[in-house]
Amino acid sequence: MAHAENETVTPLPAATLYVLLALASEDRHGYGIIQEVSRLSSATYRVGSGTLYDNLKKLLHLEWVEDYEEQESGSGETRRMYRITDEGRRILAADVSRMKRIVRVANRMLADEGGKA
Amino acid sequence: MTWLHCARRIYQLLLALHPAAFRERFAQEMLWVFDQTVADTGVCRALADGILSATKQWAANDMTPSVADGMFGRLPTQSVSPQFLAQAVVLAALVALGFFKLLTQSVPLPQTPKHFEVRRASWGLCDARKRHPQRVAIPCE
Repeated sequence: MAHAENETVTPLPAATLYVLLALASEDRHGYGIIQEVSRLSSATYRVGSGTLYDNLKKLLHLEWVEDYEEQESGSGETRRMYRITDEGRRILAADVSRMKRIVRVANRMLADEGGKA
Repeated sequence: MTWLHCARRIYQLLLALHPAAFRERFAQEMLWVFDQTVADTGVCRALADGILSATKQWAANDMTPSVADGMFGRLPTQSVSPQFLAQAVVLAALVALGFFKLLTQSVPLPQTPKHFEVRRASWGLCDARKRHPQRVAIPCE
């Protein structure tokens, strides 16, 4: 059943995938997400402020992410934090499985090509 | 005013161009993130991202009749009656005919070349000369 679900998952856009990945380990605010995306991609993929909030709006609407307010311990300022939901985690896992399958097939194809040569 | 202050002002303007619902929810945060990241990402890229975001938000904005009412005035929500449809078809046909007439009047149609008529006449004369050589004196080529 889980495999059948994975088959129907639409590939996530890069920005959406990175935002979900950034939130998979812990809750973060907007700037924290941008920093984590930069770290995960070894600074090869940078999300701008506009792109980030376009995606967060979409993810909040889909209920793959939820938000709450938290007061920062140092400055005392209130920040809105974002957290991945169970549904968001399931979608992320499905997309990662989809990519794993592609990599597996690609590796097999490349190995065959190597064998022929 | 420094270049970064100027860029911040422009970014605030871009945020003001976002749809109201999006702006109310995210503008403050976006400006804070812009302040934190503009030095790394670069002013041009950050501003381009803001323009793209505003465009995307307006493109994705829910254009339900209630939203469109506020923008363009009241839209007809009732279904189109057959009489209205017939009138629209007749009117469209009349406009198309008028347009076609205008086009044909303003652009002259190609005339039949005169030498064609002359050649046809000469062929007629040739036939007549063959049949009645003593009566037709015009030489035939």
